[in-house]
Amino acid sequence: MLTATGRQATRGLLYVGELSMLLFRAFRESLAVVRHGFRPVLRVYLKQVYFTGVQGLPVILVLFLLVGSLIITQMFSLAGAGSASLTGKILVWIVVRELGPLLTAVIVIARSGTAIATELATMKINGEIDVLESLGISAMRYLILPRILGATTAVLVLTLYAEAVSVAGGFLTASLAWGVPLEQYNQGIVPFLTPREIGFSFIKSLVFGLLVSTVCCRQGLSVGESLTQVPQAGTKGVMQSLLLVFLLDVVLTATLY
Amino acid sequence: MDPTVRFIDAVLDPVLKGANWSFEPGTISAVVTAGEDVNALLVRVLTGLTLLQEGRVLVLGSDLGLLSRDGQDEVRRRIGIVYPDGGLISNLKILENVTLPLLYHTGESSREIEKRAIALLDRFGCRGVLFELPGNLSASWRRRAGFARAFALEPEVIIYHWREGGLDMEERELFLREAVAFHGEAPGRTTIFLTPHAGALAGAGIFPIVHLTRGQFE
Repeated sequence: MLTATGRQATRGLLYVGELSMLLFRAFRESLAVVRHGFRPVLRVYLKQVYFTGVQGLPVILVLFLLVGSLIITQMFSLAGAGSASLTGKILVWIVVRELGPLLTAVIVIARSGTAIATELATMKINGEIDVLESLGISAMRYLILPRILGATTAVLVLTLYAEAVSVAGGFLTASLAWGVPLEQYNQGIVPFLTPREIGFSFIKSLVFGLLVSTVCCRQGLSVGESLTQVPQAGTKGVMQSLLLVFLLDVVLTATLY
Repeated sequence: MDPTVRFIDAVLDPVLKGANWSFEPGTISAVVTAGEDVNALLVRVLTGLTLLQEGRVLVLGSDLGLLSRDGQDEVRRRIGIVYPDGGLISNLKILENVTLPLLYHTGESSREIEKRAIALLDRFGCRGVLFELPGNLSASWRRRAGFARAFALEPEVIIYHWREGGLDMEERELFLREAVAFHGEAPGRTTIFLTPHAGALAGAGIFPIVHLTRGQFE
C-alpha cells in the first residue's frame, strides 16, 4: 500500500516536472520568435485566441448569465431582497473568487483542450511535426508556444467577461423578480469588488490557462504511431486538466485568501 | 569544391553499415534503396532528425548532429524535401502550406510571398485549389503542392522521396520534368532522388545511379 502510494506520488512529481519543462521550453522559444518566425507564430496565436476565446464566448455568456441569476435567486430566497450587502458579498465571493476562473477553465478544457490534444496527436502521427522540423521550423516555436499563449489569453479574457455577465445576470434577476434598483444592487456589489479580488481572480485564470494548454499540448505530443492514440490523447488531456485545475484551485484558494 | 552531401563511415543499423559516399554540387543522382522505409529514414538522417550510431553525415558542410537548434534550422532551410504524399500540414490551406516556410524564414512582405507561392503553385496547375485543405484533395494535388513548397525556398540541395504509385503517365512526366528543370535553375544545386527502383525515373535523363545495398553505397 505504502509502496504503491509512493510510486504514484513519484509518477505525479515526474509528470509535473514534464509539464514544467514543456512550459519552460515553450517560453524559451518566445525569445527566439522575436527575431525569427514571428509572422506565422502570430497567425497560430490569433487562430487559437479566435477558436478558444471568440468562439467560446457565447457559451460563457449564457452560462454565466444563468449562474448570476441562480446565485441571486438563492440568496434572496434565503436572506430576502433587503440584504443587498450580504448578497453582493456572496455573489462576488462565489463568482469572482471561484466560479469565474474555475468554470471558464472547465469550459475551455471541454472545447479547446480536447481540440488541442487531438490536433497535435494527429499531426504527430501523420509525421507533420517531423515535416515542420525538416523545413527548419521549430515545432515548439510554431505549434506549442502560440497554443499555450493563445489559450491562456482566451481564458483570461473569458473569465473577465464571465464575471461581468454574472454580476449583470444577478442584477437582471434582482431587478425583474424583486424590484431591486440598480443603486441598491451596486451598493451591495461595488465595495466588495476590490482590485485585490480582481487581481486574485486574474492570477487564478492565468494559472489555469497555462495549465490546461500545457497539459493538452503535452498529451498531444505524447502519442506514438497508432491512430487509436488520438482519442486517448484527447480524453487524457481533459481528465488530467480537470483534476489539476481543481487541485490547483484548492491550493490557490488556500494560499491567496 | 566540397561535396554537398557526404556520408563518412555512416552506421545506422540496419540501413547504413559504415557507408561512404559523396554527392557533388551541381549533380543529379538517384539512390536506389530497399524500400520506402529506408528512403524515409535517409531523409531523417539527411535533415538531422535521426542521428547516426557511428560516423558522420555532412550536409552543406555541416554535421547537423553537432549544430545548435538555430544552426540546424539554418541548414534545413537550405534543403528541400519532396515527400511522397506531399508532406503537407493538414490544418493549413494549400496556399498557406507553401507560404509557411517563406513567412518563417524570409523577411519579405506577405504580399510578395503570396505572389511567389501562387506562381509556384501555378507551375503545378494548382491555382484552382489554393484555398483547399489538403485533406479535401487527392494524393496527386497534395504531391503537386508538396513540390511547390519544396521549391519555395530555392534550396541548394533537393531530395525527392520518390513514389511512383498512384501517378498516371502525365503526372509522372510533369514531376520529373519540373524536378530536372528546377535543378537547372540554380548553378550548383544538388538533386538526389531516393527510390526503391531505378525504373521509376526513366525518362528523367542520364545521371549516376547509386545502390544502397547491405548498408553500403555502390
